[in-house]
Amino acid sequence: MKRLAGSSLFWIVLLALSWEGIYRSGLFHPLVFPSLVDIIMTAGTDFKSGELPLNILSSMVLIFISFIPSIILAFLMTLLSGLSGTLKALFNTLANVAHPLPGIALLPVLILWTGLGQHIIVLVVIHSVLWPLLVNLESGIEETPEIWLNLGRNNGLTSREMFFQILLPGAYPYLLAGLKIGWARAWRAVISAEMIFGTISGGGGLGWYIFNKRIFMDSPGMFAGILILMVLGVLVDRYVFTPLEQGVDRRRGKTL
Amino acid sequence: MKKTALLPLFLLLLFLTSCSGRGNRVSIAQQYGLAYAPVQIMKEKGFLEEELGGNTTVQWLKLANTAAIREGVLAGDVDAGFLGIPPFLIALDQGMPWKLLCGVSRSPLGLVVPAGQWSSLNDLPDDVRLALPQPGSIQHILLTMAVKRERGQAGALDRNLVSLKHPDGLNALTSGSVDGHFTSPPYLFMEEDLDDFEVLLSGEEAMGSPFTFIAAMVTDKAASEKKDFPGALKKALERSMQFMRDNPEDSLRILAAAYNLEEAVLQDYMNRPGMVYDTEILGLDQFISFMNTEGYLEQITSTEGILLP
Repeated sequence: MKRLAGSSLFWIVLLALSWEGIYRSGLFHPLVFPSLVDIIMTAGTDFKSGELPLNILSSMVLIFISFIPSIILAFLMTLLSGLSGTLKALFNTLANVAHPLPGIALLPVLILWTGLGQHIIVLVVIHSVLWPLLVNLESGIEETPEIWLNLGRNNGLTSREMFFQILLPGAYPYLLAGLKIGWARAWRAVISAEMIFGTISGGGGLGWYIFNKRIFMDSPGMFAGILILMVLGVLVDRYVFTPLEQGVDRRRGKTL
Repeated sequence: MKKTALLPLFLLLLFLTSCSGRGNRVSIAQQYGLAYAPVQIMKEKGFLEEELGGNTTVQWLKLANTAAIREGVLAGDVDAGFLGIPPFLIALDQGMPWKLLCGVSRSPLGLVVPAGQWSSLNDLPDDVRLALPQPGSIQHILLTMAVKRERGQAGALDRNLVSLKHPDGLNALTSGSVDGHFTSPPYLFMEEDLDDFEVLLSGEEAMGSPFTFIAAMVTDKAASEKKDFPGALKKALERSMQFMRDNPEDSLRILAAAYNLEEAVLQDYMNRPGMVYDTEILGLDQFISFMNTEGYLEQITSTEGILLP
């Protein structure tokens, strides 16, 4: 029993059964607690019709095209911070001010300044990803063991070589943590932004899919969207971040 | 028993406590805007409390939009509210336990575009971008009605639509981010008053006849548990509308303070053609027929069972 309780599958099945039990008890209106069967059926129908794949793809593409410039920017800023104390102070100030600011709070300002369009969501996601990544990268570099730095200096490495061969590998666990935080924040930003404004036809993203289902009071569809979000989160964690983390653990001798 | 085992019990108890104890109270979902003026007057003058005989507490809930009202009803926190007919019908079609009580207001609605560019919906280019509050809103349904008449397919412009709240739509239109904005007062009046913009399509042209913009609804639970409530609410609304006709200056003062608008501006807006406060419900048949034909409604085919007796 103890081994069973330690398995995720056990808890997923238990939660699903509890949900269906609550639905069947009739305690709540079906619009409040729709049947799990209806939720899965709706997800299936929307997958078949192409609505869900189109919206998932739309959100994923937005995250992807926002993630790449965020990573490049974070690296550039870290590199420049290493070269200039003034720039380091500037970037630290910017990070301190901007990091706690929810991306969605910037939405009205960005619309006013840059007009409407998908670029707004991209900008919100870049804001959400850039700062945690930058803060983590800088922390990672600051935490690089002194012995590694001495090793680099004694071997006559140039600044560029020091950055790419000593500092960056040293900061890798922090970079990974930053990417994980950035990914979670990017998802939240994309879904929130899509829920606030989107195209009324298809392809508005998963956030828009959930919002649209809410507007048309399609509760099973709304929960299907949320379920898909959770599944995607678990899949990315399992197949992207976990292998990367295991790689780091092996390199650092935490695991064999 | 371990202490941790008591936590779920405590939470359950808290949940059950929060679900009970409504007592002799009615909860009204309130939104702001010119179309809701009689509701504001009813609240400020205490007409509903008087009609209920003074032994019922009226709780006013400020909710941001129709979706929040619908969720409030499902949570059991809202007994009555005011909303457009299409979102009311969409929810009823999905099994929402509520009925229409009466109309609150008729109002001009319209699609505002840059002046002198187009003379009909047929002139709109393929890449045109039009803003409106959300799919299923009265603005969206009216636009699709007109699009169907002019272009043959109700959804012909759906891929050109962007969902924006009224203030964002106004900003987007004036900054050129969108090419049109289907909106309601006061944003419609603000946009009309700008030299560079004009109304390409009015709500009445889209519908083909006058229609109720905002209507009052009462939940089935409230109607069955508090038999006098629907009648009292309708009577209070009628008294509010009469008060607005008999005391225009007092009404302006009350509304200007509530909406944070200058009295002169408010007076101008409220006296514009098409602003009518009336409990009659107009256009229900047309909305049902169109929305049913276009697949927005599946169960509802007529007005039967929709209106409170």
